[in-house]
Amino acid sequence: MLQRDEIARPFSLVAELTYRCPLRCPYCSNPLNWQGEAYRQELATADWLRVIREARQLGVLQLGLTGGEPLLRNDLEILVETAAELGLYTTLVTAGTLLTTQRATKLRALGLDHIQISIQDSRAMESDRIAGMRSFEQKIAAAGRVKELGLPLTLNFVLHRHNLDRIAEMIALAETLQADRVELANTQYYGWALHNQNALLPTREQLANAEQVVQAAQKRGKIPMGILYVIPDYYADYPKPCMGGWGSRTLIVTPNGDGLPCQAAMAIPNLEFGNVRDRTLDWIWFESAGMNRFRGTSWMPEPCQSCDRQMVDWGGCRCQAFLLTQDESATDPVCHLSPHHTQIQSILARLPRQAEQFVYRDCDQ
Amino acid sequence: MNGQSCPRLACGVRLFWDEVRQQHFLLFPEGAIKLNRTAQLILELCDRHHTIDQIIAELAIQFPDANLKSDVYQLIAQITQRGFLNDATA
Repeated sequence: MLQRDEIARPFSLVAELTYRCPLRCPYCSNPLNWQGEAYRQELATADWLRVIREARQLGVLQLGLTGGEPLLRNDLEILVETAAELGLYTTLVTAGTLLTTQRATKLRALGLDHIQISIQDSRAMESDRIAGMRSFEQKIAAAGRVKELGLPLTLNFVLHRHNLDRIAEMIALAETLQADRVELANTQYYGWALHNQNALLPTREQLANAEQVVQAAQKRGKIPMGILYVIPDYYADYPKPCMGGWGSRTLIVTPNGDGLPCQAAMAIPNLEFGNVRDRTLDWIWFESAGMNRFRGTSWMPEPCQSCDRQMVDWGGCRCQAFLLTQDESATDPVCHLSPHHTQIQSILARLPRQAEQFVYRDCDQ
Repeated sequence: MNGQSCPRLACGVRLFWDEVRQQHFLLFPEGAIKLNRTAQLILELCDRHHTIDQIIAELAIQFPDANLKSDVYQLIAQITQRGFLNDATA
């Protein structure tokens, strides 16, 4: 285990204020059991205020207020106000449907720094189908409000088989809406997205085309703060450095107060992280067994142990390793050097010829 | 940008002194850049009221020996390229 002074302080806190959301996206990053009893016991305002203060003391610079839909929390305003007083760079990550002019104006006045709005597709009908409700027009209106208020706007498009062919339209939409920053993030396969993998995983041809479109748009340079493009790691040769390394940059707090190194980490059994109801953020970050479990490189198996990329990709994603091999300390099977890489190859080889229909996140398992 | 340009931080971009790390940062959507002393002083003067020539002149008082002109232009070009600085006169 690393000593306290060898552990870097976190830069970001992702505050998942609630898992409730009007949208029903089939790749939602919330856990499959988001409706479970534990997550209904959401933290009280006082708990979140303490978490935000402790986060700043811990060294956090960036606060993401997310969910579910964070605008469903009536105490969002006081959380933003407190974060702003502490100097935290505060982002609201929203689906946009509940972002009224009144609320956006208030949040801006209280010190909110930045708003990210998700859009599911470039066309209303398709976007509404993926979101599982009519929402596209409201999202477009919300994006306009953000710009009118003079706040920087990030648009986030989650990409998958059903929308990837319209990536050029999505970028054009972002340019029209004068987005300052765009995230084009292919779905990663945990939780709901893994459940819907057959419906969502794109083809190699779709990806090749998307990459060209993105490169052209980056060259065009109409999005001032840039276009972030994330490929689905099943098609990569090496795994992604998940979260910049386990417990190295980002801390997540779930609606019921669990502290985690990533949004999917609760999928791995028998890891103890601690809950902000009975532990400080400092303890969770520096002392908890779960947060320390995959720090550094000494936990790594071969081929990672002797690989010169071990501090580039940090062995890849622990949640993905567990979900695919039932061993959370295995090399991420996405890596072509992994002994389990054939699993990825066979998933890609078995892709259905036509995109299948997906299951919305509110449906029974 | 040239000597008569008045750079200013783009909307949603700001400077921050981190008491915890004892370190100056530039903060922007989803990121932070550590700033050394010179970078911090240059960006503090990117307030749309100073031309680049004035920024260089002002810092030359504090750092008479440094190769200021190229430092200032290099930093401003880098930060502008990432969309975090604009020319207020443009």
